[in-house]
Amino acid sequence: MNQPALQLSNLTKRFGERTAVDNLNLNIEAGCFYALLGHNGAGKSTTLRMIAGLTRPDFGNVRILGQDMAIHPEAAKQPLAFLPDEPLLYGKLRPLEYLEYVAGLWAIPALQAEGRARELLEWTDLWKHRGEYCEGFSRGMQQKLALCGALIHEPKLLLLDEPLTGLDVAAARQVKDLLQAKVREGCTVILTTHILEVAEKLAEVIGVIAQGRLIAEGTLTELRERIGRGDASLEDIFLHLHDEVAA
Amino acid sequence: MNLHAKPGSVAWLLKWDLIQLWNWLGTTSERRIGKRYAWLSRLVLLLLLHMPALLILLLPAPERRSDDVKLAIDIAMTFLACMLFLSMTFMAIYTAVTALGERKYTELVLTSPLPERTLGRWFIASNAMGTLVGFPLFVLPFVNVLVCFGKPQALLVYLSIAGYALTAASIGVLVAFGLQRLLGPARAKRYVGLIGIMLLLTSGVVISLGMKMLKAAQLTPQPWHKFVAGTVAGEWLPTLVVVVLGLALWLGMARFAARGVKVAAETQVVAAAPVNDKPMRFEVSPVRALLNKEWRLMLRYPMLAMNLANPVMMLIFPLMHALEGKGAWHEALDMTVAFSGGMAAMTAHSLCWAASALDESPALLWSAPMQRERWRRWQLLAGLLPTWLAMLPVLAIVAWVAPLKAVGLAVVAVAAGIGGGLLAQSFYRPVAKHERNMQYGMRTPQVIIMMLYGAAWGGVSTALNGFALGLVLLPFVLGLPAWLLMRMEDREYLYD
Repeated sequence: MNQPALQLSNLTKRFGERTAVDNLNLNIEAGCFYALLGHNGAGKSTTLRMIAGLTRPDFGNVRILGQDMAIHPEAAKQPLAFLPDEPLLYGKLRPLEYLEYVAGLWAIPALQAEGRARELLEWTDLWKHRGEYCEGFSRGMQQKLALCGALIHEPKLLLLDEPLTGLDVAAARQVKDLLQAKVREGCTVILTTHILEVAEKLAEVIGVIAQGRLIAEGTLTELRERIGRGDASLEDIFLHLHDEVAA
Repeated sequence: MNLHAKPGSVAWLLKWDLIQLWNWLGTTSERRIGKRYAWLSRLVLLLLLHMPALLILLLPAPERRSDDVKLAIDIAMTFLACMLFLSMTFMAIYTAVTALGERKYTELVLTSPLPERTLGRWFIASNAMGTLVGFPLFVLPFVNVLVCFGKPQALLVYLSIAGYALTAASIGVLVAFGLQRLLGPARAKRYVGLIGIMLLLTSGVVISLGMKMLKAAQLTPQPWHKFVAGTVAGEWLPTLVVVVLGLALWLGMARFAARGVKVAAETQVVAAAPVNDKPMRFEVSPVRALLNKEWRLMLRYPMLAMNLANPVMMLIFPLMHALEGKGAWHEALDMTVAFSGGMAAMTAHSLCWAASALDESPALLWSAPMQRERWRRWQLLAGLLPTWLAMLPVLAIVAWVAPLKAVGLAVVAVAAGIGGGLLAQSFYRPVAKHERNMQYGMRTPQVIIMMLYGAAWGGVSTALNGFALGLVLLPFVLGLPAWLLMRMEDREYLYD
């Protein structure tokens, strides 16, 4: 039987009085393109950070491809890549140096990493900028390089927090195509975005989170059925669900 | 703060600089003790700043011939004035290069319909205000205390300091444009701290030597020398000259400064770098990958790399001894030995702190599949190895004169480095980018802890000169790292 790519059980995180994530349960199958939607402060980023092992949950657990993040954090992190909303870069490193560092952290064989780094930099059109420090890169270039870092170890689970921020039209298209290709290869992609058209086009399953709780989950058709409007766009569904919660 | 000025005027622009400065100064105390009592902490700080001045002025003056005392005071005042001016000029260059490099301060003003003259005047005056933040703090408490001692003319120092600040800012802006033209904006920003500190140290040594020679030769102070001293001694004429000079430079250079700011805004901050076609070999091992990254980053921040010169700077004692003609250089090597232990601890502390702080994306390290204790140990090693390498020249010179002392110092340097590094790692907490300062987010209490710990190691290394009393500190300097190792709890580094 195939292991689910990600299992979240009763995941809860509080910051002082505020509950950022409240008893969240998720079960995402391998090879699924999952979009996690929610307003600002709904708990999307905190959820992703807990999955990536950056923030410890107060309750509940995270299992990545069967490995419990609390018990075997290293094994759980091995197949994982996380791209936060702020690119994880070092201003004073050059692109190849940065990729060498990331590959080192994931212990990727040098030859494999070198080839992959070149391939990724050429794909993102950053190869010609390999002599420059990352501090001089535009936001879009930084985002592309951070994505290269996330992909260099061929992750099985890709967590992307607002991955299209700062990208130009061509680069955004390139990233969307790549993510779809990754899913076809069996990689699981979980992304958060405020651009609902992206989620509508790419995601197989959509989860909507509000006040730290999952208020709806399903395919676009299932979500349309839930609100009882067969022609509703994802934006209509999202706003309808939030009105429900607010009421 | 509620200051009124005509919108668009230089005073109005300066008001906003002042508000930013005030908020910046106030944030830390407000966060720690709450907004309601922040004023109290500022008041206590102000009183504390005046304490040393009060204590020094209350000390009984040594009974000497009045001529000697007058000469000594004149020399001290001249030295103070020269160093104050040099420090302010260095600060002005640093601020101007940073402002031009970062552009965030200038671009908004440049896109506004302000006249060129206003822009230039604001840029210099804002720079002058920046130089006034730190350095006069050491001088003005003396002025205030002197006023309380019945010397109201001391208040003139406020005017001379404003004059000095305007002069320093005008020169600073000129040098900053020169550096930008010569090195390019990115390089100028990277090296300005290094260039400034080297110049400051060199000038400090030269001026200090000059003063000492003057004092040793019992020379009568020259008129220029009395004049310079008069600017910080509350004398009318020198004060007036400094103020007029400052104002003249400020007004005269306004257009030039405005043009410079515009040229800087048109220059590409980061020019496309040439590609080195030598194929890059990736490292397989995570340890090497991490060490390579830390060292690359350390070397690419010149202000940080300068820490590596700390141990060698301890050779200043024999050098000054020889230059002052007090005898052979090696006679003063004991001072080097006495200070080196502390310097090893402080250098390791700074580098290990930076190794953590330069991890601008700790999330990456945390999401990597490796134990956090392992990478923490490698980061410690990344700070320790350069510290020990930097100690080698000092050890070699000490070994030349006293081999046994060098062996002792080597042991002290190794232990002090480990202690300093552990201290940094144990106290380090990530700070947001905007809170990072020249010490990479290290705050005042941590600087004090580092210096106290360094001083304790200095005490231990004095034992190598035969002062066994220093060994009393041994349990503390060795006990602290041991305790830190024990309390390395499984802490949460990152906050959402």
